[in-house]
Amino acid sequence: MARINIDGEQNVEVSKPVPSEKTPQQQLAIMEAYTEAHKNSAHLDKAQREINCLKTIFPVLFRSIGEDDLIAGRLDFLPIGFGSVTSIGGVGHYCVFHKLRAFKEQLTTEEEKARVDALYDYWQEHDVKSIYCQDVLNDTTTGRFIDCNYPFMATARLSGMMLNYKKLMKYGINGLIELINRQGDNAFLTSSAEALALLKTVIDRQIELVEEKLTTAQGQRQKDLQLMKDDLAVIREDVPHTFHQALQLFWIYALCAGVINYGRMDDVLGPYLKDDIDAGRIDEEEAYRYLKSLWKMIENRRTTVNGRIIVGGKGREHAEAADLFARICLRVCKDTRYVEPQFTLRFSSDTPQDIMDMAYDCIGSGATYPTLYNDDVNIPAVEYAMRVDQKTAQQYVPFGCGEFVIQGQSVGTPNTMLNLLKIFDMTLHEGADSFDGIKKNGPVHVKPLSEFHTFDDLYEQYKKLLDYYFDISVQAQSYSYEVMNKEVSFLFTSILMDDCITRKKALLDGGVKILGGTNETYGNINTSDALYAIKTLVYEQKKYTLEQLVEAADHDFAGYEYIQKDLLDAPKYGNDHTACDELANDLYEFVAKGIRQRGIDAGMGYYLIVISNNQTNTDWGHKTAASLDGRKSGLYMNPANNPQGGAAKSGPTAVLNSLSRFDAKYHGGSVQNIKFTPRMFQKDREKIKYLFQTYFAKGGCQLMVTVVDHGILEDAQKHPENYPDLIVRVAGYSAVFVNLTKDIQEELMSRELYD
Amino acid sequence: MINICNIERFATHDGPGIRTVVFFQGCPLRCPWCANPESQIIQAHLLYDHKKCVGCQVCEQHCPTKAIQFTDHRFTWDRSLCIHCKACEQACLHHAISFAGEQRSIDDIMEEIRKDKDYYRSSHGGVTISGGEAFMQFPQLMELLKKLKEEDLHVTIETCGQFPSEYLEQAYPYIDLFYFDIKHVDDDIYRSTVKGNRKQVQRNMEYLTRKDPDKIVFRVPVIPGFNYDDKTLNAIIDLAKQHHVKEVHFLPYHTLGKVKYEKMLQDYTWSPTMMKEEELEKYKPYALSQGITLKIGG
Repeated sequence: MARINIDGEQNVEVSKPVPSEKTPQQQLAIMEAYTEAHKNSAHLDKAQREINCLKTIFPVLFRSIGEDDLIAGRLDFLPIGFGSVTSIGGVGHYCVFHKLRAFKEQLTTEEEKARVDALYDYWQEHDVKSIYCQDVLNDTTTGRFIDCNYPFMATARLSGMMLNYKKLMKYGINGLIELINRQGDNAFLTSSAEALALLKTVIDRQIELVEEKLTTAQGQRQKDLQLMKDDLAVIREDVPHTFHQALQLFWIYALCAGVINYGRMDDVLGPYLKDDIDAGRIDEEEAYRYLKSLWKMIENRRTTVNGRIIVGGKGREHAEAADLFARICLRVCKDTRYVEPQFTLRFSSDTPQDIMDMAYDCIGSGATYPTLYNDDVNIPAVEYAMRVDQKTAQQYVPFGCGEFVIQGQSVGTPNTMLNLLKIFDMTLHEGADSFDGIKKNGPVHVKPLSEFHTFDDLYEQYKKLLDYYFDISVQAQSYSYEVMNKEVSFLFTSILMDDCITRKKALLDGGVKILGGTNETYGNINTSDALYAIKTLVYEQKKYTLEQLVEAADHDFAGYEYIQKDLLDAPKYGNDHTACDELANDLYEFVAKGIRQRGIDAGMGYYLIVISNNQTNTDWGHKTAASLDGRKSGLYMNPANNPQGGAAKSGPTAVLNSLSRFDAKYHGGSVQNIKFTPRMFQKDREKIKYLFQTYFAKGGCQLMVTVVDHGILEDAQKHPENYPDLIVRVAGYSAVFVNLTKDIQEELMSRELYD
Repeated sequence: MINICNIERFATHDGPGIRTVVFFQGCPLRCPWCANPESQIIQAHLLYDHKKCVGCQVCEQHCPTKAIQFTDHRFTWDRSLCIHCKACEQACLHHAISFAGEQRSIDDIMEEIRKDKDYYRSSHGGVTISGGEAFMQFPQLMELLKKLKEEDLHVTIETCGQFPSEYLEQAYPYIDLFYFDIKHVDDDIYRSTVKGNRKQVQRNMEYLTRKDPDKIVFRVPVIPGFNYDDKTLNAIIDLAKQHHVKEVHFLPYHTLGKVKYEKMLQDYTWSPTMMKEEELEKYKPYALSQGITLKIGG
């Protein structure tokens, strides 16, 4: 096949990034310097090459201190550079081609444009993701993320890294350098030490930037800036002693590591907060100001689906201090109403009632946060799913749209995605995707419809095709690590991930304790609903033949409206219908266990499905043919683990009963949305609490709640100007409703609203 | 088999905790403001949504008894001819036709009820029987009540009190809480407006309060032009006090049922203006002075 070109959207981007402070010419010069360093270091070890490249972007890419920032550190990213994730910049040594093309349009002279072209050409051969895609993508089964023409998408990225910040706090920068030096001097270790020296340079630059602001500041602002300057000087050389110092050290490190999910910051920062308050150094209001500033800085990174701050739950060393931190975060979250951070509460039967009440108040205010994670279910589930002990499982953290990793200990990036509904459509068309007629069944022989004499014949055929896709999934996931490892060390990330330093190895080079991974599955409920409709209408009631149903779907039900009506009227998941839900569960277990076992067989720490969602259910739905749950061609697919919009007609208890049916121990994260009117959520608060408590007691692992009134979403569509801060939960992320595209808005509106 | 109108899960306004409400078909009264007019007769009633109808007349073609006819492009339905085969409902691709009311077996109803048992337990909720007026299908009601008690479920009944007293005596042991309609204190106004016999209601109320006044809550639909005046509403509070009833609910008049009249091809004759809950706050001090807890909106 022709050379793969991965120019195009690489991630879901609803929030628009803050533009760079630098002029286009300055940006071009930085990208050229980066490219030069990359070229000139080609003969060096990957770790040395990485540090040489990093020196061309740090500290120069840091921007000036924001007007009301209380901690230092704002970082730009360019179409070329170094990163971990597609949400900010790209992966490893990256070039985001469509952004580079857009950048070119900002330049005026032909000479400058030609320089951009030269960069474009160079990176076509060297962009880490392109290297991966070149080897993995093909014309039929496997597309790049996001190319929805394929039943399977694969990508190289390092999403969801949540570092061991306790280690950072314990050792400080100098302590870490010593620790590394004591280990010896291989290229990884020396480059890691250099990275930490570079971090000091970054801090020096922050001090300069603060000083710039200090020249004109007065009153309280002057005091704030002085504190920032003093504390930057402290953390440059010493471990943090105060809450503000700890916050500053964490933040500046996270920026350099390119991570966009932060994790259990309550247990990291809580003790500093408590000490400060106990000693009378600050009061809670001062801490509130710092955290509000942090919230704003996280929001300003605009990663759309990330920015996880997680509080609460089991396995914290400093629960009391951490809860103090959590309470202030809950206030900040309620007051700011930002779409990021994705503020997350882990809770269990031990969680203080006032924290639960504050959480419900925050949700009731329409913030969509915190999202709720049930430790009583998730910890034992993670223990089984990832094959780790309880102590390790207690450190589970959801990132991005809801995938779990173990903080500081595991990689769990979702580099593979499957469209279960497309694969089912192929099962009904002898391997061809009826959306475009292309055969995508690989080496699997798919029988014609006439040979499916029983429901089991059909179901078995589908499972065979799925098995093939599971095989290529695990290969693609493993290979993404291989390619990334060949190219980069992810130095900053490795330093704070167990056990890279003691093993003297980079993250993907055998350094990380648990090398896991996740596979996002889509269209799971559409498929099980379609299977159930076929089972009843064709094989039990014999009202139609399978051929008749497929013919109707092939015509997108035009002229076959009665068949579509019967398909739509068939029982649907989300209504607590035992047989229908059992089939959904059967499919879930087949997929989840199939993926999990392949991870074990491939020698990975874990490889698990996630039933999370960004907006890919809608995007992929646009390229998926009409399905036998009655869904029209091109329509969105069901969101995450929820029923298809409009299918849940039996009230919230029914939908929660259906949702709690899937055993959490086979997946690596599954998210569920529910919507209430403010009237119900506020007036019937006690009953809502019982509703949630019961759902969680029945095995519900997670819940995220949007509180919005009748007609508001409809009105916001017509008059977006009136709703600048109307926040909704899309699936694994929250967004300002009016910033979403119309198709995503429609999918949200199709979901049941409980009143 | 029971003729029921609907089963509503996660009901939050029809008794304590999280509840499932079973709406029985059939009512002896004819309140002109009735919010559930489709439940007044025991048989299923056709509901026609003119907004969804595209006038294709497919329903007419599928009706085996000519109960449905389009005259001058207007949809008509003759209840006396309808055999409730629902061929019209199935034929309509636009969901313009539906039926309120179906026969369901008690086992089937119980299965539906059991699905939320965990929620009843955690919230101290249970099952509410409503309507219509459930005592209209007395034998079936008794059978259902016994089943509910076998499973130790909390049972609330919403009733207008218009049924023979011996029924009440038989059903009483199976019911934990009565939401009992007190619509008026005047026999004549009651008879002329809702077409019922208030004396019978009074007898049943007295039976219940004699047995245990803590098991009965007065529910008063406050209807402008019928009972929305200080004299009547205060008299109802007095009545509660006289019979040692401790809780009274005033339910402000609403017109949410109006759309159902349109779908039933009937005129809605009562006031088009909804009341606000706040309007009724003024009765709280008097209720309080009489030792009565008055809730607005239930």
